[in-house]
Amino acid sequence: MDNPFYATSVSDVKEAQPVSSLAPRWFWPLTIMTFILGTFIAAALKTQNIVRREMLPSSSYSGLAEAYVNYRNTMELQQKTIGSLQKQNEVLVNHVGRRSPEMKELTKQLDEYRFLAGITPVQGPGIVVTLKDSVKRPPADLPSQVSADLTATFIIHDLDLQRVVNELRAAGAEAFAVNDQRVVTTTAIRCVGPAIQVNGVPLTPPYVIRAIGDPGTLSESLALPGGIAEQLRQTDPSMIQIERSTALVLPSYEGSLMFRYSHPVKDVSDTDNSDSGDSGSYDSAAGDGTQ
Amino acid sequence: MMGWISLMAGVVGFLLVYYSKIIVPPDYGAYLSIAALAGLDSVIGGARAAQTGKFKRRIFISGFLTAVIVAVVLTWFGERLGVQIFLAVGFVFVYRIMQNLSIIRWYLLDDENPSLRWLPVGRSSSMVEVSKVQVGVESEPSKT
Repeated sequence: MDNPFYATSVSDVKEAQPVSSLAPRWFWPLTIMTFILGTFIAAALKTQNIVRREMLPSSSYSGLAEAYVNYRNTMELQQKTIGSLQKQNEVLVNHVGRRSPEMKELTKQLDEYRFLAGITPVQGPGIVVTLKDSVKRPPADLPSQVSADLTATFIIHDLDLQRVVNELRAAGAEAFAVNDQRVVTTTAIRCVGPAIQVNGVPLTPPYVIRAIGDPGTLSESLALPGGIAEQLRQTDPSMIQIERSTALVLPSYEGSLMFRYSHPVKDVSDTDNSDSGDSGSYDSAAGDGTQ
Repeated sequence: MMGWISLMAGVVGFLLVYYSKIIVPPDYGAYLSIAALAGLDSVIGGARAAQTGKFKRRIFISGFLTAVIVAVVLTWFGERLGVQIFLAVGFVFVYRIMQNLSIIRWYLLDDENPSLRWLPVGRSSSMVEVSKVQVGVESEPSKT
C-alpha cells in the first residue's frame, strides 16, 4: 500500500458500495450506456456497409453490362437497317438510270464515286495480313512491372493495325478491310477497352487485313527492314502472317457517310465571278480590246 | 465481473441492431460513426473511472451525451465549412480511448487487485508502473 492514490480509490469504492448492495454504483449507467454504444456501433457499421456497396462500381457492373448489351444490339440492328436502305437506294437509282441516256451517264458517274468512296464491294488482287496475339507468356520470375510491359508486347494493339494499314496505303493499296470492316475516309482504328474498334465496331482477334493492290509491292512494303512485320516477328514470328492473293473480295462500308460540318468549296469559276466586280469589268474591257 | 456483464450488454445491443431491419440513411453515416466513437470514448472513460473508484453517475451520463452531441455537431459544422473536423474529433477520441484503456489495464493487472493474486506478476516492476500511471492520472482531473 505504498501507492496512496490506489489506496484511496479502493477505500472509496468500498465506502460507496456496501456489501449488501447488488451492484456497484457504476454498474447500471455503464451497462445501459454500453448497450446504447453497441447499438450505435452496429448502426454505424451497417450504414458504412451500405455506403461502401453503393460507392463501389462493382455493384453497378451488372447494370452497365446490361446497358452495353442493349446498346450493342440496337447498334447492330441499325447497321442492318443502313445496309438494307443502301441496297434499296441502289435498286431505285438503277431503276431511274434506265430511263434516259443522261440518267445513264449520271448513274455511271455515281457508281464510280460510290466505288471510290468504298460503299460498294470491290475485288482484285492483293495481300492478306493476319495479326494475332502471341501465345507466349513472360517468364514467371520477372518483376511485375517488367512482366506487364512484356505481356503488352505480346498483344496486337490498335497501333499495329494502324501501322500496317498506313504502310500498305503508302505502297499504293487501293482498298482495305480489317476483318469485315471496310476502311474508308472516315474510318478510325482505335482501342476501346480490351477491343480494337474499326468503324466503331469492336473486332475480335485474329485481325485479318485484306488490301487490294499490287501483291508484290504490298508484301515488300511490309517486309522493309525495321518495319512493322520485322518488329512483330522479333517478338513472336506467329504474330504476323502475310499471304499474297490473286482474287480478294472486300465488303462495302456499312455505316453512313454523312458530312455535317464540311461542305464543298464552290466551283473555281464561281468564286472568280463572285470575287469582285473589278475583275469582271477588266475581263470585259480586255474583250473589247481584242474585238 | 460486473464489467463483463456491462460488456455483454454492449454486445447484445450490437447484435440487436445489426440483425434488425433498422437502417440509417447513408447520408448520416459519418455522423453515426463519429457518434459511435464518442460513445466508445465515454464508456471506456466511465469504465476507467469505475476502475479507479471515481465514478459519478451524473458526470458519466452527461459526459456521454455531450461527447456524442458535440462530436456530431462538430462533424456537421466541419462539413458545412469544408474542413474535415471529424478527423480531428476522431483523433482526439482515439487518443483518449487508448489512454484510458492503458490506465484500465494497469489497474486490472495490478498486484493489489485481489482477484488477480494467482497471476505470476513481478511485484517490484508492477509498482513502478502503477506509480507512472498515477502521475498521468493526477495531471488530468476527473475525466468521465
